[in-house]
Amino acid sequence: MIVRISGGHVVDPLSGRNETGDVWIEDGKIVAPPQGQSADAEYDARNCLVMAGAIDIHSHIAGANVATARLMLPEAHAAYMARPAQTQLAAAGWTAEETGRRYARMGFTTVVEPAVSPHLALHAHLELSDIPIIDKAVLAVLGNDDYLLSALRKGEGATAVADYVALTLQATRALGVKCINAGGAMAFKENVRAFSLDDVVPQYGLTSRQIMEALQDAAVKLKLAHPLHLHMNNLGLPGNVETAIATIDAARGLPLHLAHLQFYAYGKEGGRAFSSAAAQLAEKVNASPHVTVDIGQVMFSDTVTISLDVLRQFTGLKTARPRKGFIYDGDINSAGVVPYSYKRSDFFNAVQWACGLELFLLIDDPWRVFFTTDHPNGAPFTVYPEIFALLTSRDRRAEWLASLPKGVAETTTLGSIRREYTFEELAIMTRAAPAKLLGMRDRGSLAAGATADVAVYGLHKDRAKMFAAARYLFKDGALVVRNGEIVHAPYGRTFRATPGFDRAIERRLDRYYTSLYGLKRDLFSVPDFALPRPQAFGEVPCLA
Amino acid sequence: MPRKAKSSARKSAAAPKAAAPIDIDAACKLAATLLSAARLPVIAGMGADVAGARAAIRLARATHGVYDHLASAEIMAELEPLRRARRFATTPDEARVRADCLLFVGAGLVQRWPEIGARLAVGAPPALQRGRARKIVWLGGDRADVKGLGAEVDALAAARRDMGPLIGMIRARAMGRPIKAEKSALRRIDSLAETFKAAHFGVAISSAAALDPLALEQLAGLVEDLNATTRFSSLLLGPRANGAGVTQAGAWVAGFPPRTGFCSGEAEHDPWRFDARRLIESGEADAALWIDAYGDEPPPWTRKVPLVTLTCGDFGGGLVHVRAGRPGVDHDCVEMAIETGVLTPRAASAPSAAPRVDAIIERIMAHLPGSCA
Amino acid sequence: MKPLVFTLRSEPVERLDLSALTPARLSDLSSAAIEKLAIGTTQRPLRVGDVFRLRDGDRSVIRFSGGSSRFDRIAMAMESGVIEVDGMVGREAGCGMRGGALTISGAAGDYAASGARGGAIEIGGDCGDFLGAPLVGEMEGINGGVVIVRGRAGHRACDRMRRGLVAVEKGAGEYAGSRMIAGTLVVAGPVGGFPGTMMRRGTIIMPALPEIAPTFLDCGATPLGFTALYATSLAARSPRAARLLRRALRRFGGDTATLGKGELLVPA
Repeated sequence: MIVRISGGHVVDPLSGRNETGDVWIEDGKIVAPPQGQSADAEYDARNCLVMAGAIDIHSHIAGANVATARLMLPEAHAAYMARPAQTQLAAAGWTAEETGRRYARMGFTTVVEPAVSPHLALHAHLELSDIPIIDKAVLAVLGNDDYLLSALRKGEGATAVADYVALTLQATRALGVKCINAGGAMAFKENVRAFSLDDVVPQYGLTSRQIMEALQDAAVKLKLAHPLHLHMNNLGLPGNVETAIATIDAARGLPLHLAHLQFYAYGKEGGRAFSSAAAQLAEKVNASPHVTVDIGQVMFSDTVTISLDVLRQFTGLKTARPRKGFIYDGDINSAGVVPYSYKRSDFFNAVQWACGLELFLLIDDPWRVFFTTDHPNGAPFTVYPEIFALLTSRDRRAEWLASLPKGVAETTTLGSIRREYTFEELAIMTRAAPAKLLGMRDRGSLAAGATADVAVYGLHKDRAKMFAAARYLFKDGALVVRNGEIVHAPYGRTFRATPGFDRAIERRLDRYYTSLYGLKRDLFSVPDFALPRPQAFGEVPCLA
Repeated sequence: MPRKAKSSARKSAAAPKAAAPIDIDAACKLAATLLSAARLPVIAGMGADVAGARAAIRLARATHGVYDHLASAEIMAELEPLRRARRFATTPDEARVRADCLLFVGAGLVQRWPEIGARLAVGAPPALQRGRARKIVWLGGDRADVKGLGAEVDALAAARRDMGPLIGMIRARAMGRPIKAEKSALRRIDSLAETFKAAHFGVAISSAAALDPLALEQLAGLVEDLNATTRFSSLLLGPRANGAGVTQAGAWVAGFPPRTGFCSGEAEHDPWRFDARRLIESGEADAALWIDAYGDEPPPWTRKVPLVTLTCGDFGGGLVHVRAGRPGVDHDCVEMAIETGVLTPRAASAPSAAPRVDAIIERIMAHLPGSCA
Repeated sequence: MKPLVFTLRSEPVERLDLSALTPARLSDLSSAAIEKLAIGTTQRPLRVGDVFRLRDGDRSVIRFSGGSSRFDRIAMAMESGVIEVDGMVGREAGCGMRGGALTISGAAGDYAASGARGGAIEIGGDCGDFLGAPLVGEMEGINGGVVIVRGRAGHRACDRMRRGLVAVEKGAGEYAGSRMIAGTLVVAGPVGGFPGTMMRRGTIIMPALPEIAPTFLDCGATPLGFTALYATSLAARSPRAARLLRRALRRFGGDTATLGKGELLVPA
């Protein structure tokens, strides 16, 4: 079957297209215009923007903590007893099925769940299996586990650590490795209440920096396409820009991805000792080509924060809105789920909102900055269209800024920034660059041979309306969205990386589980028989 | 979606004893007819693995019905502190390797989990607490359980009804607030409070079956309060028949735990309205599918209702009975395992061709009007 | 002015959600449109006309002639006007009410006055468990207004109450005022065990002390103050509750398991 999407404004940074023209699809792939053949189906894309399907590299869409959040907040759901009319979380769907459908509606075709604790991997994959349309991937989280910390304490070398990381990726079917407040959750189990880059984990004698370096080295050694994905220390604290800058230096010039950077862009100037340090941080990122970042934009909404940074979540209990919370001391990682409401009238929340946009606009290279709200932590993913609108219109930003509490405008540079994202920059940030960052070479582009994930948006001067509902979305060449409605909901695949390793680690780890936990390690595995669609996995190759 | 079940199910379905012998396909067809004709059908029991739970919820949605679990009262009580306050939780692994204080609360815990003492290695010091001994306290335990735990236990007897006030007293003293008590009782309470505050990483172990809802919430409050100065968490043993696993599946499939209905098409959660027993006793529900693949528990209602049963035994109180395979015994499954506290794969211990709950439900769904099958 | 009257034809075969039948929501509808409103709660919902005979009238006063334990959410979120029920009702009567008056001659089910913020609710018979309590997941119960129950209340009356005044004339079940945040509950009949469990603030007034937790402490006689004020305000609506409030009262402070700033008051 040959499909032609005709006459649209095609923006594809990887192939250099930014022109009115056609996109052709055959057998699930983008193809060159076929010679002498006509299309079996044709879609009119005149007055439309045509781009590859969007990719979200960091969105908490599945797993035990997401489930906890859903269970904690029955009052926040759509149809809950007809009592609350509409809530932000209701708008996010809040089931596996609606997660896939609502992402697709906005033209997204690949989403990464970035925080899977190894012992909860099966849970995450079961949930991901039930998310329709989009392709998925998970990142496995290490850095607060006794096995790794004990190995480092004993001075085991980089190869041993790399073998352990590779085995973890295999066992959890993950695409990459993430580290969340390295050592922080372990320290919290020892009743430590604040933990920074050079603080030492009790009983192990290791600093956060050492743990992070070891995992970063392992990712490099294993030639993983996706570099270590790091959630830094001191999230959300005034003055934490210093931590972020020190962490960028700690990367030693090696590739490193910094998650939801907005939450680290805070100074402590002003009467409330809280200010935007985004300009300073953006400058540091601009000068550090080894670093990529995603933003974690805050938008004003009632939401829930889901994080394996248990230290931060424990602190956050005090400001929970409503006053609920869940703190989990887990086997390999911990976690916290705390509802929160970002209010436009709240000075601190307004500064957070501004910080995110400043970072988006002041980091020059769209290949190194990624579009996230850290769903649902900064806001539910369904607010993305409004953020696209803010990035593409300084007038819109000025309107928002004017509605914020007194003193917010003075603490940020946002009002002075004239930059407006172009379609090409948006296509880089949400398509081409994430494909590259994740090593998913088959997507993020409309070049011949690419997977035919294609989003078509009707041009509208209100960019929020335009990006809220795709005119058409093709997933693997099949039409799944028409005029913002789901017309077909197949199940996508989950992508993983499979670096090689010395199998001796398996026996070592088997012994470790038996002696420490008194359990067989395979109780925590993700066997085919446990999954409803075991065949639905794809592979991301390691770097050459 | 079900592996191999479709072909094998027909020959293996055991003929129910009490209900009329009927082949599995005819049974599924009849079930589909009953459920689709009903004004308000109930998918109850739900003693099933994760795949069975997913299928049951989808069936409830397809028939504009309700799903409820046989241990929902416990599920609701366990959820209460999470939905209404602050809850600290940990895993059996962490209780085993890290807890220098284990606080058992309530009776019936060993009955729920006979291997609890061995699994938590109660007799040994916690492996990851170098040099720290382990202190064990049991409030309101069965005498035999306390004695048989295999470790030295500081036990305080209390009736179930007094558990809430007892935990409340400890909570008050831990935070330095007064209580009304005789000198000796006050000393005892104070010493317990001091023990918990002195723990480096304590774990309170209980269950919704062992405590009344307010006592369970009181315990969650005690654990939270202790975290003001030290680390303490809790481990709830979870309801029987994979109640916790069914709850997790509910969270991602429908957004809600059991006691959820799709009457209007959208999921609505109401612990009272969608209680299967109440729905049937009141006559509001007019057809039911009862599932218990883990046991052969009969439905809890007394009123006659058009009923299809799907259990691992020979229960025959309804119109039609289908004998289902036991998860983890007859077939591989995923369930919330008590020894891990997470969704866990379980290979079949005695594989057989007895059909899986999800396979049976798929067949029922294939017979629903408008199904494309 | 004649009220709008809904006369029950026969016991409905399903639970009804009557939240649509409030003065504000009916003000602009013709009686034909009202008869077509879906009020059933199953996939083939009953409509108003299936259940009730309608007699048109002033939309600000609505009367139900005949009740049922399947009448749920009556007067839910009502802001003004009057709803009178000649009979019994089901769950969540007056749930989230903000103003106006709801009068029920018979009994009410669980969660009556759940999360109400204003207005006056009177229940002529008994009410079920969780009077005024928040629904699942919600953090606050009744948050304003006045509720009178002429009969008995079930267990955990005024759970998580935040504000307002609730008077129950003939008694209440166990754990009255559980998890109260603030507000006043007067029970002029026997009360079950452990009132005020985990209450932070607030007042529960009872004619005699039932079994209480050791986390309540006898603080001796308490000076008449606000209780006398409440007696005056309740005098007309519930002489029985008012009489209790005028007596000399003794105070038990608690629940010290939590904040401990609440109180149980009983005649000295």
